[in-house]
Amino acid sequence: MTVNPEFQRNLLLEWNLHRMILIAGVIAGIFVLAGLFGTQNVVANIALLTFLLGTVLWGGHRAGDAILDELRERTWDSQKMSAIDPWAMTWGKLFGATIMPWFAGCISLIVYFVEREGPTQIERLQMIVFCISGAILVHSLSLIGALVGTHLDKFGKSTLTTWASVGALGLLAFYFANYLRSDDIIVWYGASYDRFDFLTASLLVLCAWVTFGAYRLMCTELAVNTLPVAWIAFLIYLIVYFSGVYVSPNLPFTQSISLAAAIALTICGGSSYIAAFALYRDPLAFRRLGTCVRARNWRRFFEEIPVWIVSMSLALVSVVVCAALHYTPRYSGEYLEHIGVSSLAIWLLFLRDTLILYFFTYGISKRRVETSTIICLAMLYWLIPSIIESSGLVKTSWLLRPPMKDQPLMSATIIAVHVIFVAILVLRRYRQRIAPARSVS
Amino acid sequence: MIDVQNLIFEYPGLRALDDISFQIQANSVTALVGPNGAGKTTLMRCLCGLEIPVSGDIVIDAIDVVEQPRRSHERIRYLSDFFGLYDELTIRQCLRYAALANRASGNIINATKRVAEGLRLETRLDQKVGELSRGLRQRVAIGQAIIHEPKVLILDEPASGLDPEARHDLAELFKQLQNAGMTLLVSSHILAELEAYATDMLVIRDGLIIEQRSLKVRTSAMHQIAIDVISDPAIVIAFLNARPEVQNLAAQQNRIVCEVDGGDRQQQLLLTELIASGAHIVNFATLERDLQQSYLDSIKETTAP
Repeated sequence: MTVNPEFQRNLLLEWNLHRMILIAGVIAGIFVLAGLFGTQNVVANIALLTFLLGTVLWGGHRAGDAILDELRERTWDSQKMSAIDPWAMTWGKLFGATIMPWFAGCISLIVYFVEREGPTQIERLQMIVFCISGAILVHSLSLIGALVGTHLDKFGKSTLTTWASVGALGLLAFYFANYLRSDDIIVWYGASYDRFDFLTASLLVLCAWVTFGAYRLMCTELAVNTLPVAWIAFLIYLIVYFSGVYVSPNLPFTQSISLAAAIALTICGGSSYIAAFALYRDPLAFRRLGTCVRARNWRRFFEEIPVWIVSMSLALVSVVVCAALHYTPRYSGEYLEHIGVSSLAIWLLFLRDTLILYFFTYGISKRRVETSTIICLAMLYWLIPSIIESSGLVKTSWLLRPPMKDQPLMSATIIAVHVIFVAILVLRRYRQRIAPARSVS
Repeated sequence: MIDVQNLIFEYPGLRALDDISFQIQANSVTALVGPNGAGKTTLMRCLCGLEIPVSGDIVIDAIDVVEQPRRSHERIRYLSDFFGLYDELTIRQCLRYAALANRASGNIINATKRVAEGLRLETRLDQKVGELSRGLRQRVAIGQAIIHEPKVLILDEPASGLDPEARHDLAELFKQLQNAGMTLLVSSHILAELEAYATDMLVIRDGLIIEQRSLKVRTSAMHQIAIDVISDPAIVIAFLNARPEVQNLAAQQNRIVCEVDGGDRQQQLLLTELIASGAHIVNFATLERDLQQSYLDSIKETTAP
């Protein structure tokens, strides 16, 4: 059996006796001090804290650096051209670059298991599984951030990795907070589950998805062409997962579907925002898509299509479902009575905002595109309508912030006008800055 | 070996490669030359599947690089001007990693030894790469690139920053790789150094291929001749000006350079008649057009109104 060369190389760079002794010594010192001044449970809690700092945070940093170091040392091109397959490259970096943080983490978790008093062995083991999957989740997200950052400038790379890590930690904190809550039952699709078990299983599945996401991004980097099926599968998973919290067997079928469609709209729309903002927006992607269409090369078209468009398309499907159910005679939804037309207005808002993002993407400056978009959106959603409203011109303010709940049809019409207006601006900018390709001279 | 058809590559608002087509024969060493910003690096990166063109076809060793970039990587290796190495690893570890990562055939230890010997690195195998000179680092980078015996090697400015001795060694190495059956595409600003090993020249300017020519096979019947005389160059100039087969005559002190339309027989006749006319000739020699001259001629032809 051949050992993963990327993992081997990382071991050569990261693993040495001096570092092992140093790390073991520092951690042992911390635990001895904690043991001198506190109880066994204090030592166990310190062990968890050490795991958080040593494995989750330091490991997250190292996982991102596994890519950023290649860029700094200009070795990324030769890695991209190597025969190492994307999965081997992903796990080689994910576990190779973080080998020392994992060494520290192993010591911490063993100490936790031995010292923790109260919970049963199974519960302690479950906590360890929770910690390990949480750490892998943060490392994978950091790797994803760095992979996305390979197309950005120096500033963008570090910012993105930092935000990916912060996001992952936030997610972990949310899980941890839920984990520690007193009520111990979670109702999912009408069935009751132990909170402890449910959240651990959820985190494990999420960790698997995020690691798979890192692998798929690695595929793109290593020129392994893929269709966006994994993205679609992930969105379906999220829809099914979150629908379980709201949908129960007691609800009428149409209402359950309507709820699921509303959740799908939120998830797909939200994911299109995240994908459009966070992933690399290749200004020439639409040029290449045009070439694919002219050549009727549909496979390549779907390989190259930006995933935010996939999300937006799925969101449109949920709009159609919402609208269709709204006009079904048997529909008996109460709190979702306006969802039919409102869902179209919401979808148009998603589209308009993404078009605004592209308007700035096609601008002269590549920097601060996202910041400019957020400022523009804040003005559109809040600042300007609020100023107009405070002047007593409430109905005029509807031109920017239409009353979605009370007047869904009018709102959809107004936002459709926004979309057309922004689309014209984007198209003009695209023709000026991207499309009229001229020769170098 | 390399077949490029209607390749278009764009940056936002800028066409870097403008519908270019060319072919490169197997086992050749092609010099890719052109001014800064001509599109050399972009072209090389497209050939390696590291950049996706807007349209066009690139076929290397019967593999479509645009459609199957991953498969094409088995046959191609690219070395950029800022080649990267892992400074903390030894040469042995670097070569071993490259062999494993690129699935070099046969025994890894033997492959490492073979490449180290070929590059004269065998005595330094346990030295850390970070401690090496630029010339030796360049050798290690080439060693990593060739350890799995790719069919095509693409090098962007490989000699930049090397001293004359290292450049000479590099030229020898390229000849050695060509003899081993590899096809090389090399870009450089130092045309004199490319001349030492290039068999073909590809001139790129403003994203267009303005010329492709063989440097080893004469494509026209015109030969450049240098004639040195002891005295009275005016007699020789007058004689040559009267000959229809002589063109582009230029004189500087006792040296006259001109182009003669014809082969060895024509030149022999010309020399005999010159001596018979009483010219005091001490040297009559054919000049090989160097790469620099070829390049400048190409540029001149394309910029001429």
